[in-house]
Amino acid sequence: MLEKEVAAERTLPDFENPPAVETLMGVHFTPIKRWQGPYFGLFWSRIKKEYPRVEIQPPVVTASTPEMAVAQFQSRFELPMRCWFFNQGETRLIQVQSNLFLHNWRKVRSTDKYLHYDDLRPLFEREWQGFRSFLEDEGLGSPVVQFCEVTYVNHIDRGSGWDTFAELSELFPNWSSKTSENYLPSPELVAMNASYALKGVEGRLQISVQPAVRQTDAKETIQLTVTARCKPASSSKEDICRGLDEARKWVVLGFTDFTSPKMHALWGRKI
Amino acid sequence: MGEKDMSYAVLEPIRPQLQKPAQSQWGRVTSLFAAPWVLEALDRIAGLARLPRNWDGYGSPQIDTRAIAAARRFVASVAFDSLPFPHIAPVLGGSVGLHWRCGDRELEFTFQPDGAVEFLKVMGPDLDREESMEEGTLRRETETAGLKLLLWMVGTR
Repeated sequence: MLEKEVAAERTLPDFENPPAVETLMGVHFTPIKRWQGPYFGLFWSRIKKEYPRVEIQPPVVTASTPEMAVAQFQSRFELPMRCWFFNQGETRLIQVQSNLFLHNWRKVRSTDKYLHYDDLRPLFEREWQGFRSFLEDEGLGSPVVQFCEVTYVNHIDRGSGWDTFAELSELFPNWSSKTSENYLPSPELVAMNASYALKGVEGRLQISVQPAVRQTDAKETIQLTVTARCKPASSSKEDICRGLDEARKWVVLGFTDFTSPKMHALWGRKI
Repeated sequence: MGEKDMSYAVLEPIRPQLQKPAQSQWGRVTSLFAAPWVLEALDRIAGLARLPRNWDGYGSPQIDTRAIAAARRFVASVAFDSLPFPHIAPVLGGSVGLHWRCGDRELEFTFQPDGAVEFLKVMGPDLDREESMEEGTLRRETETAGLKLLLWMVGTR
């Protein structure tokens, strides 16, 4: 489909220069019963041509406390690990653990074109189908998906719409720099975490604002992370795609609602 | 370790404040709440660019911008809350020096204009003993290797 036609179909807010530096989409599922360390290598052998480098990482833990997280892995005599498989240009990444499959895209250079959800979802579908085929071929069964996830990581660098944390309300309208007695000076740092229940679907939207320094270029930034997780109707490909679309809708509308019109203008809002 | 275009597996060292449930984000940032001293250290390193030629009176060139950028990336990448503020200094030949001390352990890094990072590791009060010192050069994945050394210095390795 031509880019213009795809763009014409877009109804959600869209930006010429969005601050997104990374997006990810994927699924969390009930732990695969017979999953063991060697399966990471077996899966890698299938995708190694396109994803030639691997890193071992600590697992993403969905349990509510660290103790429960440890129990989650110990009770199944499983190594608590996750594998990252990088593509050739290190612009995309597949993350796998016994109950998780994610596909990330990131902007490597500031001149890199933003890869839209419309381009990324087909890539995820292809990789997810490959993983499902691998599980079936190895006799590991079909994963029972618990929820779909879409996350956008945005960097709002100092000097691009803000210079001090006293100006935070100009970025995020829900933040007020007012205090009751005017005793406190302007904050030197501010972090925020907010969680919203999704309407009409089981799930949550989480927004995190974190002052940080980017490791690749040592620039100061505000990292705005927007994550939506929602339960799909079933584990079928169609329902997972619908779940991802719903999660992405919440991420985009949530991001737009959470940030100010002044910033939207700076990012070149189109719709 | 293999070349960049070859397949290989690595196990990344983990910074102390990151020893909590990991997240699914790929790009790395350092939280300013976890290491509030980072911004000041980055500013001081950047300030070395203002030193004129012959800043030491022995004909040294200006501090190289590549060495400054490398030292800043290094600090932004390895910072964690129990790491003390480094001593930051210009080094002969246009390099940048970072020095940390923790108890009887010391670490010194020198960021060269050509991208090499030299380190000197010192342990124990008796500096005359040969085995109390170790030096070397980091040429690849300097942040990962440097972080391992810093974790040794603060006593977590």
